[in-house]
Amino acid sequence: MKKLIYILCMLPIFTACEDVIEVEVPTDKARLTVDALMRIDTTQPSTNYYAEVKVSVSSNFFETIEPAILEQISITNLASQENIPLFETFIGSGVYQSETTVDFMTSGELILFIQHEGSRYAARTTYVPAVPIKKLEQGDATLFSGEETEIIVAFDDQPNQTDFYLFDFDFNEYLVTEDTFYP
Amino acid sequence: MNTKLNYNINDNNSIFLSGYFGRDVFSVSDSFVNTYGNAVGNFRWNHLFSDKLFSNLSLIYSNYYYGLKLDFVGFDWNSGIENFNIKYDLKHYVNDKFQINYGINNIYYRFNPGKIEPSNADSGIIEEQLTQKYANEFAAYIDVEHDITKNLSLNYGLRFSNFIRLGQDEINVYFNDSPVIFDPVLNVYQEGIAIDTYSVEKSGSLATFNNFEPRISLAYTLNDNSSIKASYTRLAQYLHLISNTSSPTPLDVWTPSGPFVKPQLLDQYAVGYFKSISDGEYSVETEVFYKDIQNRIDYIDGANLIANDAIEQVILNGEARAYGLEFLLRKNEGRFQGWLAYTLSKSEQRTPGRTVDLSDGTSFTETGINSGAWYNTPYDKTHDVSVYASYDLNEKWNFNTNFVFQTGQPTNYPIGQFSFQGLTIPYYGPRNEERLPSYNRMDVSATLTPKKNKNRKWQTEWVFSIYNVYNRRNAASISFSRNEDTGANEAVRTSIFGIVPAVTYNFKF
Repeated sequence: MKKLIYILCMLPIFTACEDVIEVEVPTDKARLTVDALMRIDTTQPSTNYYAEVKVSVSSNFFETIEPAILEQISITNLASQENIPLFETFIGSGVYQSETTVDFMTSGELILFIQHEGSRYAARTTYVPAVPIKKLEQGDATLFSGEETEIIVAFDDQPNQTDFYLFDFDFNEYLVTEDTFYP
Repeated sequence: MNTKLNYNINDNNSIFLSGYFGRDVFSVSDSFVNTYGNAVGNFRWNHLFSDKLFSNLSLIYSNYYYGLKLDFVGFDWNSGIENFNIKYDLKHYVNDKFQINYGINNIYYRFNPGKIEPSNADSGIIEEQLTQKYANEFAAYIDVEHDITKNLSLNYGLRFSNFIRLGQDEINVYFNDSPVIFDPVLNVYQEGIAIDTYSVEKSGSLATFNNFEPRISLAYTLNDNSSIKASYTRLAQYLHLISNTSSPTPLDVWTPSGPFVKPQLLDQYAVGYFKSISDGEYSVETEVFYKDIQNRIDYIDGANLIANDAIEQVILNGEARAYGLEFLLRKNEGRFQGWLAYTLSKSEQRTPGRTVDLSDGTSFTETGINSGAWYNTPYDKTHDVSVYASYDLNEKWNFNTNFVFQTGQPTNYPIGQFSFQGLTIPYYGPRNEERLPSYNRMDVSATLTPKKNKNRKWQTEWVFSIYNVYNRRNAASISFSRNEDTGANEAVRTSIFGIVPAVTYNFKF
């Protein structure tokens, strides 16, 4: 019977490494981006609300994203048949605002209407409340670099409905979780 | 870890036992550990009925494991494929011009698509086992090697395979029997609506497939130095691999054929020419091939492949084809030997849209994946060159080198970016249209065989080698992200190995 024994000695030079390189990426035709995610805190005493929509035009991955200029923008509440036009905060900002009420935003179906470069766009939504946060604490665990901050958040998931939770920790730090594996 | 044992019971019977266990652990921190590997056990009994007929009975167990420990989100993830294979092969040398190989084979599969478990007591995760899947594949084959004349030899055979997707705990029933639906307004595919579920006993069948897989090849000797060959092969494949080329981690999802996924059928045609030059000192081989694949599946845009209990909701049925030219030049004799191989090929796939009939009598055609157009498969390599050379300087020293050049793997680069909630988000265009930079690498080695080996029972050998001599950072993947310090977008290349010098000591006894 033959046996083979291998002894392998490798000098520890090899590493998985990451470096920044120059890559040419293709450019698609510019697309209108509408950021109309509005957060409404219904626990606040004020009944007024500033509706704000940010619009921009997509760009090549290595170039700058520019604001878009709209011909028209408005929000309609289908339940109350009320319509409010939005106005640009200053010319070229791409930020459109209007003062309205919490009630307008939270009751009934809303239609956002936009006209841009001759094309008309519409989107429809209703207000979706989030469950309250039961506990919010800073922990001391870390992840990869040792410099991370642990934040412990507790909330009760609604059992009979599929939800996605978006956590905004500020500093452009977001976390999305779905409730598939929650009790 | 590898072990091998063999035992000769007598002149006509011997048994072999081998085992392999391997684990790769990729750990970023205590909170993120990725482990994967294979465990294989193999028992083989070789029996000689006569000097013309012998048999092999094999029992093979294999277990592939893929696990993730994600402490920071509070769970562990375990998945794998187990299979039990029993096969009985017979080789019958009827005469020196006629040989028959035949046998049967049965494989039982158990798929664990994943089990999620809380990794610590504070975790808010509940334990969940994704539905385990089971299947059985039986095959019988006969294969003939037949020298018809001095110049013409023929190899033909037929394999019959039967695949049964066995019952499982829960399987979805879809509205209109459509696990994937198309939204003609938004022009996107979406997960179909599950209206019910049913269970089938593990001994029952969810779907059964039978396939005949013929193959034939002929070789014709033109003269002492040259020959031609031609072949046709059909293969049925019942396990499907869906890989995501844009992901930097090895995320491969295996799924068995079943009620929603048909077996993949391959037809391959090849024609080749062989020529020996200078009495066999050199040889040249060329081959052209064409492969046609039916039922090649791919995932829809935006598919969630991880922990997906109903993969049929994110995949569509398409087709694939590959064709190419292979060339091989060898130097077979002398102190300097080696070969040069070159392959020029194309491998692509497409998933056209289905035509949907509406209740009002009209119909529309879906867009298909990638607008129904052909696109590169993840394996497409236009050019593949490899060169190997070996030189025996004297009895003590032997030198080797090899060089590899390959067209970069198809991948996806962002075609633009947009802004949302203060974040810039890249978006992508047609599938697999871009490529990683080309892959090339050169290795060298020197082998020292000490002279004193001749006079002793044990043999030793030193191998000094350098992998990737010119330290090329071949890209394993390129990811696109935003630099946290400067805020600017950048392309980040991940390369696995740079230059690797190594010393190996081989000891045989």
